[in-house]
Amino acid sequence: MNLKPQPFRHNNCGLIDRNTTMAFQFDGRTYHGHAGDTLASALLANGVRLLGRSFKYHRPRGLLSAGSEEPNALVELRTDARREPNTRATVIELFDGLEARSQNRWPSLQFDLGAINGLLAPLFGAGFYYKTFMWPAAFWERVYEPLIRRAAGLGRAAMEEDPDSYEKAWAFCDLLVVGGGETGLRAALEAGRRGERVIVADEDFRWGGRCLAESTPVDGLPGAQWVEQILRELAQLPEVMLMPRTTVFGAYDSGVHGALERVSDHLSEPLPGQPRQRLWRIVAKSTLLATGSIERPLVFGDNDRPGVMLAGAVRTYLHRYGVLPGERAVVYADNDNGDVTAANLRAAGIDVAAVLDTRRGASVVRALGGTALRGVEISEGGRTRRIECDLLAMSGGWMPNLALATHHGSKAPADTGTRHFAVPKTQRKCFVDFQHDVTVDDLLLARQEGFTSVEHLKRYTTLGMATDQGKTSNLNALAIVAEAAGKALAEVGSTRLRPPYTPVALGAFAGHHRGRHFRPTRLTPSHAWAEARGAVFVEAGNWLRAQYFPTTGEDDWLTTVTREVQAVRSGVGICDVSTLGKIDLQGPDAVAFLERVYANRFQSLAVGRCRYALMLREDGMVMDDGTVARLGPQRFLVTTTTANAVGAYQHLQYCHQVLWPELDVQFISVTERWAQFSVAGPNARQLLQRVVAEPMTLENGAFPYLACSNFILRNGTQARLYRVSFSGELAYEIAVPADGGEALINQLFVAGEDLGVVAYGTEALGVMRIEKGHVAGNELTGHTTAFDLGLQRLVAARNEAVGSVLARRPALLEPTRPQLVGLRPVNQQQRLYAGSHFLPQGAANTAQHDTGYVTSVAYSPSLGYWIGLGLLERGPERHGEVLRAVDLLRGHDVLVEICDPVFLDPAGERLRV
Amino acid sequence: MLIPCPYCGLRSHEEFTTLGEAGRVRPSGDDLQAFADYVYLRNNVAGRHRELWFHAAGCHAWLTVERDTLTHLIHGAWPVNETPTSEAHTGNEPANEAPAP
Amino acid sequence: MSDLLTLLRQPSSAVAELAAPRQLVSVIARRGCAKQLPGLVLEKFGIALPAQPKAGVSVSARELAFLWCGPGHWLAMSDTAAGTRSLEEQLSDQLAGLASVCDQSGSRILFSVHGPNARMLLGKGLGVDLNPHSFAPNDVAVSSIGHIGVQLWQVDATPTYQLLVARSYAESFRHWLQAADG
Repeated sequence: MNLKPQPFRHNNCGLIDRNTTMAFQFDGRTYHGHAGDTLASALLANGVRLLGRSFKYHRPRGLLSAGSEEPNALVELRTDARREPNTRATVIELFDGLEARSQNRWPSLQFDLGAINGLLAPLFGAGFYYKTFMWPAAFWERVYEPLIRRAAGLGRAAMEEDPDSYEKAWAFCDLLVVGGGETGLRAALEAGRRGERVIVADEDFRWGGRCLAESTPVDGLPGAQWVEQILRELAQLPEVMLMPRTTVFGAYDSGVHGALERVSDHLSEPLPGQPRQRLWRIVAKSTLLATGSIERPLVFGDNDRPGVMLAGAVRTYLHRYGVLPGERAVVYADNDNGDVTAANLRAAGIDVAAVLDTRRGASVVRALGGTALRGVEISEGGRTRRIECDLLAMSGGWMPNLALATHHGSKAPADTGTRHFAVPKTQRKCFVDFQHDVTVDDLLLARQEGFTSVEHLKRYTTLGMATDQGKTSNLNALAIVAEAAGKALAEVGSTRLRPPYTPVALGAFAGHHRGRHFRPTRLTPSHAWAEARGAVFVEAGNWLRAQYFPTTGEDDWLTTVTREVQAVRSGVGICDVSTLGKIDLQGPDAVAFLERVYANRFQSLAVGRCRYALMLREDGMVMDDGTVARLGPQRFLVTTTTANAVGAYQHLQYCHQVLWPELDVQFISVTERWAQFSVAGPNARQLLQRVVAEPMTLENGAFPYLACSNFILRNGTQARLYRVSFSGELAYEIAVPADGGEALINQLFVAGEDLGVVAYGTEALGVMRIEKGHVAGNELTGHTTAFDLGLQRLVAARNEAVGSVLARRPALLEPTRPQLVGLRPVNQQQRLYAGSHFLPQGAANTAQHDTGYVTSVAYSPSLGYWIGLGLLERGPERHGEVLRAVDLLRGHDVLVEICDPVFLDPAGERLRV
Repeated sequence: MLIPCPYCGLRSHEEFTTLGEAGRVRPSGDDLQAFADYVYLRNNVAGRHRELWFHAAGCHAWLTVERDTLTHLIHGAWPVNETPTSEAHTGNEPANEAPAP
Repeated sequence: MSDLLTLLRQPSSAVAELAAPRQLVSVIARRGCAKQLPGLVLEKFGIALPAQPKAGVSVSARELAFLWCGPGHWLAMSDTAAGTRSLEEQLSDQLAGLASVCDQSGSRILFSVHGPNARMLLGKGLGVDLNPHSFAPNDVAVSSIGHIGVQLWQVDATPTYQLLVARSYAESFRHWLQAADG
């Protein structure tokens, strides 16, 4: 292997595996690194220090840190469908063949034209978008928007479908330890020894946190060795679950935590059967945050140059990765970490040109250099001078990482340390939020413009709103604001951090639920049969229902549906109606209960009879419609619409448990228990007589319209028949236990072949109910009452009945309300469009002339022209009137005649044969 | 959020649907104003209050849940017909209005 | 110590679809009868009626089982075919006045998940703690997996679990199981 040398790799420090060398690409060039490297450490080992361009100003940026708080080194990882924008190079585990690209620069990282933004900086101050791009208005869509679209955003998402799978999982524990550094591991061991169920999670791929980064021993051992030892002990405890590469990204209510496990991110591809990532919900009785601290950057001129790094990160690169972040360093700190870092640098053979301690009166005024640090200008004892260096290790001290605690609204305790917050007087930009390019001047400008509260300041300047959520900027910003306001830091307050702690892929939240499996699909008992017959399906909530059954040669749905309707009305058709909600209801107070839940009376409903029923909402609007069949003195079978099945059942439980627990009634959903088919058409009785054991029991006298009863089929199957009709033809619904549904429909088709039996779907079902003026979902909008729908006769006005009282509000009984009408086109060749509004002829198309709208339309094969139903003010008084049905959205204006909504057989003779 | 169903134990809120404020009593009679208040008016409490939750994906029990809307802490959950009376107002009358005439 | 990664590399657990019990009947106590019902069921059918999901499934020698579904609500399960008298008729007769009874045969599909990875597999969708300290053989949970309702109980300490799923959701649930099984 032709290995390129890694010029900045130390020859024996570091916890990387020098025996495993990996090749990777960055911006098209090949480099080498080792197992245990991150992309950041490997690039640094190869001397690559320019890693990106900042968001607004396109300033050259390098690594600030060695962890997930990294604001600068955002790269595009992988290519094609797996391409991931905005990944932090500091947390990408190196693998062989890794490909990464820098972002937000053109044509290259070294020479980025976007840097011109830096010259226009005065225009890009805080809130610039509220002050620019306003004049002239003609430029908004044609000039400004395309410009902004091209410039905006950070990184490019892949446009192909994600080839990987994601999983979700639940975990339960007594103690969740967030953070697997020294504190976390010790706590896990202690709790584990007590027999508690413990989960320890760390975002890193190695355990140990700072133990891997510092030269100080732990319990007398080198950090990494101490970690190995404690891990061996933890391995003995069966109730301790270790979760590496897992970020606990959110603390939610009730001890629930969201965690993202990066199962395969460190592999070029997931292993077969493995997901890419797994999203956990961890339910913890108690939680210990051992999330450590994040180091605070110091604020001075051009403090964002590549080569300016956090001192703790410098130590991490030295000790964990065996990488030399520079050749000549200056150390700058307001605490003891400065001296420690200087000692570590010297031990690694790096020249330390100066150690500046603010406590001893030294400070950095500005960094020098462009795409790389060349030196610093410092102030010491009142005098300024310049020092050459290619590395500035800065430390503003550690800030406790309390993100997860603040998710719950806990306020971070007041910062009591003595810190150096002073900002030097300089014309150069002093950065506070690196990722969103927010400077000290931006904060002061926002204050000047009146945005003095921290919440306003955050949103106006966008400080803390980038993918790093202000991890390295929040405290500095608060201090600058406090200073400008003349207040103490504690008085200024702080903003709340929100989950996720670090970005989480949407795929992880989706897990299994994507594409076809976004939500579960419910299949009817005849689904396979319908599929085999070439049915086209439609989604009705979770259900798949056969919409129509095209035969060979039919390539237009209207032709198929018209044929189905004609076949039903002249012969017999069968439609699967199993999806409608079915509820078995029993008990001594069954009638009393039904008379409260429904608007109708049921006392008089005879055993063996069905009734059309209306369920109202308490505000008087119609909630659902269906049928109630009396199977016995205290036994009923209630049906609901498909869409409302779940809601109606929940409503019944509410009425039973909350409103009237004194009523002795029991009910259960039997939607799944029965396969149910509508058998409709002049030949329906004949067909059914061929399958029931006693055909005479189906004669009209024995089983009249609206009868219901149990039947035994010829083959011994128990069945129920309900003589109800949605189509207006002689019709029955036949129900058998669901596992016999497919057998039944096969049997019916064999038995009915010479009767011209056809399968019909939801479209034909819809056409026929419109021809008969039956209301359905389009009319049951939640804004319509029984009065509006012409069903007032069904409502028995009893106060106990849900909705009864408020349905009697005077405004709901005004004749001016939109009420159900039928409509037909004056010119019978014209098509009608649902959603069209009724406007008078000769009137302008304005809202003041709007008198209602068209709710349902269908081509009527029976009449040979389009028909519709609608809601029209004073509707019943206006039959014969000619209006315009206007659809401004799709550009239609059709003259229509208002008529009775029942287009066929108004006397209902066909039903009763 | 986890809800302690008294029958099933601690379960994710996704298994439930909520109907809002508990303790409202359906008026008897036909007083339009009483019914309108019952249907449209709710107290919007900042702090502890009681709500109705239905364990839709579980035992199908309607529950009264006492929850703090500020902290989200749940202080109790009972079957709706076994709910102890609370020391605080039950939510029947608006907290800040004079009693109805 | 259970390291997640090690566990997941083991061969997948046994997932099977079984024949659902031939007869299923919903039993719901009448008002005020929930206390008397267990005594009557014990007398007439020789089986204890579970009062709660803990030990929520009870099986008799005659292959009749009662599954707790909610307060005062059970699912009676039997593998014997309906002969001259269906289970619904028997229960209706014997429990008359104390419970309402409704046939549910054919409404459910039965799945079984067993083996050392069974908890891990179910944990991918079930928000109920199946750890042996919290869940034991004969314990029941009525919950959902992947937005699909399940009635689940533990059969033995292998562990083996069985679940009933509504018939219309069967194919979607099979797909979830396959994906979870890796």
